[in-house]
Amino acid sequence: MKRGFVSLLAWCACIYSLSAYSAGSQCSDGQSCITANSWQLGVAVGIGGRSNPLVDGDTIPYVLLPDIAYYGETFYFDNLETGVQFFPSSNTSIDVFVVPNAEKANFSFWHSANILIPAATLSSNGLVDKAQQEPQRISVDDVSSRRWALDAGVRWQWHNRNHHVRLMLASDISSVYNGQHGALEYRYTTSPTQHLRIAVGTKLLYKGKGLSDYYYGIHADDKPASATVYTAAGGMQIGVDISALYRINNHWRWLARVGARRLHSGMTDSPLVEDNTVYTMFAGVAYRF
Amino acid sequence: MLRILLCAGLLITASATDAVEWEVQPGACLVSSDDEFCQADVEVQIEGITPLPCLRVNEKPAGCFTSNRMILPLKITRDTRFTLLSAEGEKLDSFLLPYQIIEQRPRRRRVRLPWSVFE
Repeated sequence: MKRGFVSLLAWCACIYSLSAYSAGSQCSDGQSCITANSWQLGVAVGIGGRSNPLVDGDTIPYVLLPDIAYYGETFYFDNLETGVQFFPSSNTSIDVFVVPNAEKANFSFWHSANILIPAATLSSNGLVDKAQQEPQRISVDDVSSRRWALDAGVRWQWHNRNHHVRLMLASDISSVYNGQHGALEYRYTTSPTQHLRIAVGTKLLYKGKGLSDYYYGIHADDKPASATVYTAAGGMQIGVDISALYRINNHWRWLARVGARRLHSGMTDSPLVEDNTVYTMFAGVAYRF
Repeated sequence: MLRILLCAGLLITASATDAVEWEVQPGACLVSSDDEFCQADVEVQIEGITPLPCLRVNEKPAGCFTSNRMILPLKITRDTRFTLLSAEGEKLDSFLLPYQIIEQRPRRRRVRLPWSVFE
């Protein structure tokens, strides 16, 4: 206990010294900046989506992307995330926030089960040999609904010119999945021309057992067709993304983004999951009000 | 949108062999964002230059002095350079009227990437 307290003090001292060292650093136009005590509203229209790794889960379409943010002196609301940011004008900042957990989205959009024959049905229709050779799959239609969860978390961020590092830990405060998740991210941003900004990011994600099992486990209340019960383990995922933003004028921008995230085995081994990678893509035009 | 035009003029004194005294008022255009500009009558005054010189604004001819004072109605959207030329076209001096974006309120970095509501 004493050792933990000393470690926490040392960590705080380190964070404080980094903040003091870099205090006064202002957001430049090459970054995603917003004037304090103001709104930033925008909408992007284009084509894209996020692949859904669930059996019978259709791609989540990205056609109309809203962008809603309000930043005060320390308070902020940014695309469903609400929080307080300490040292907001420094290179190093700490955010304390609440945000809806995004895992539920895989279970929320429409899917093709009414058109295609679910894989679970195939395995119970006499194709026993094939079913025994292949891992059993259970359609998202055949399990009970998952609920939205609300997370609370803390994030440490460090900026230095083109480099941006983030470390985030979050925990369910809505008693839905009763677990934690976290992320370590690095992003490099460059502006080859005055109007073009390109960012390349990589992240290492931790998905705790509670989260993995609630959303991707198979439990008795799912009433699976077979006697399958699956307990999903936690694990690490890795993701990469690249985005480009071309500023046409003060209101209009071209926007493009692609990304991929490799899921951990606790998820991919689930009968609910048929893909081991989630892809994200969007290309379109954005308007800033 | 018209914004602030700083009214503190600058007295420019040449450092070349011939001393040239002239004044540009106002001496700066201050705005709060890059979609704003200054619309103003910029006054250029000369002292003791004979024969009367000519003026270029951003490398474009703006006319020649007929007295020691010239008024130029300008829309300033960027740094604007005033160049004083002798009657023979020789450069006497130049002055840069800066276009400056000032922030009344601090700028913050956004925590999330714009248009990342579903990520």
